[in-house]
Amino acid sequence: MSENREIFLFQNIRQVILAERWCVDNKLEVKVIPVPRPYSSECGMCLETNKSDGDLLEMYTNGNGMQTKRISNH
Amino acid sequence: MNLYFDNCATSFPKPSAVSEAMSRHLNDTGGTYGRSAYPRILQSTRLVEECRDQLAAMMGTSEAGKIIFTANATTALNLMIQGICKKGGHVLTSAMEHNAVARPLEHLRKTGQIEWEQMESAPDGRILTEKIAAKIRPNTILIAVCHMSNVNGMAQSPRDIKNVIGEIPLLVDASQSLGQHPVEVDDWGIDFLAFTGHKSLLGPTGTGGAFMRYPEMVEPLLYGGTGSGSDSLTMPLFTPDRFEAGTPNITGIHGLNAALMNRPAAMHSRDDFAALLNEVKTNSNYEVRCADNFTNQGKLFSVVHQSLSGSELAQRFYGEYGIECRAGLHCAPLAHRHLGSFPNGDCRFSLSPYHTPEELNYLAKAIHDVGK
Repeated sequence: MSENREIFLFQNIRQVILAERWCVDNKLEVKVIPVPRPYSSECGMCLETNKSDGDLLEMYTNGNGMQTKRISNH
Repeated sequence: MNLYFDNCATSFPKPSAVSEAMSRHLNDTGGTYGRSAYPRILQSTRLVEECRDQLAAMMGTSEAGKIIFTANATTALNLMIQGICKKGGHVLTSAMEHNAVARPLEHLRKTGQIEWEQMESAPDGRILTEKIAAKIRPNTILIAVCHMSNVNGMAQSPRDIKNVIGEIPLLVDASQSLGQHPVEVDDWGIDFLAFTGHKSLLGPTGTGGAFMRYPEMVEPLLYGGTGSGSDSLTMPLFTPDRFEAGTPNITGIHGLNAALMNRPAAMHSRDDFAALLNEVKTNSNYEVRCADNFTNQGKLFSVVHQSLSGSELAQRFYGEYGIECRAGLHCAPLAHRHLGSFPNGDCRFSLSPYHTPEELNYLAKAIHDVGK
């Protein structure tokens, strides 16, 4: 995993899909990946995005009441 | 000619996109919901969430995450009724409830958990909202209302009911109405709503669900895997996961999503339907079961003949005219008691958006000729 990437863990699958949709709509580079083994998550999917887009994504998730875990160095 | 007039039971035909989407999922794309992150699953999962969002738009709520999928409206109603009533209390219903509401309530009454009774209604079953307050008790925990009767097509006004009952939860059974009549969950203050996918939404059987504004009031009916919180042996606390144990009917949801995306424009007008009803009413051998006010009329009605039973009517309609309609009580004995047609029932006709004015005219003529 590149140092320039980070991942967001979500509470459930619906939140992953909504966040992915928001990223695509807002031209953020995003990838849905299985949750990496060292991390636990509420669901089996998570989002990987550019570090530079992390703050934007976090604003979206916070603004929509999503409980996420943001991991920068994994 | 489309002579299927039993769309209240299940709609037919469906938009062709429904079977195409289901076939595509079964034969080409596959994939379950969540559970992993490879493209096949991701594609399927996106579609399930798209369907949830479309349903939210259809029922007028901004809280799509509070919509859960179940196998049908009956499952959704059992989930909500048993959940809300778990601590006991008093429940009020309309006079027009389907057994999907009445039987769970009666089960709870017989096991000593609740009391329930009907609100006062007009002759067509429309709740007299000015009489509701007198029925409310300190321990009234739920008002359950069939939005559109599957016997006479009369639609209640959930907004008016909610205005009277205040904070008491309002559960609306929208099995017949969602897809053919306005439903505005947020604007009307509906707290709980059950829907089915295979009637007016024109989706496949095996699809349905619930909207729950206060999911914390409800306990799951089913416990099992959700693809979330899997390290715990208890169900997640959040929706929709809390109420979606087990693999959902993903193929069915593909079909329902396609139905929502490909809704046909009605091939007949409201005036055409009114003309049909008015024509049937001119035959004095029939009593026509319909709403007193046509504004509240869904696309179904029933007839009681002065000498022919409902089953005799249905047999003649099919035998002589090829018309498929339904005789009996339609799983709504309480509605028939209220309308005066219990225990014999009646003969019901329910329309599809695909019916043409010519087909409605054919039905009107058949009803007239059989009823002579």
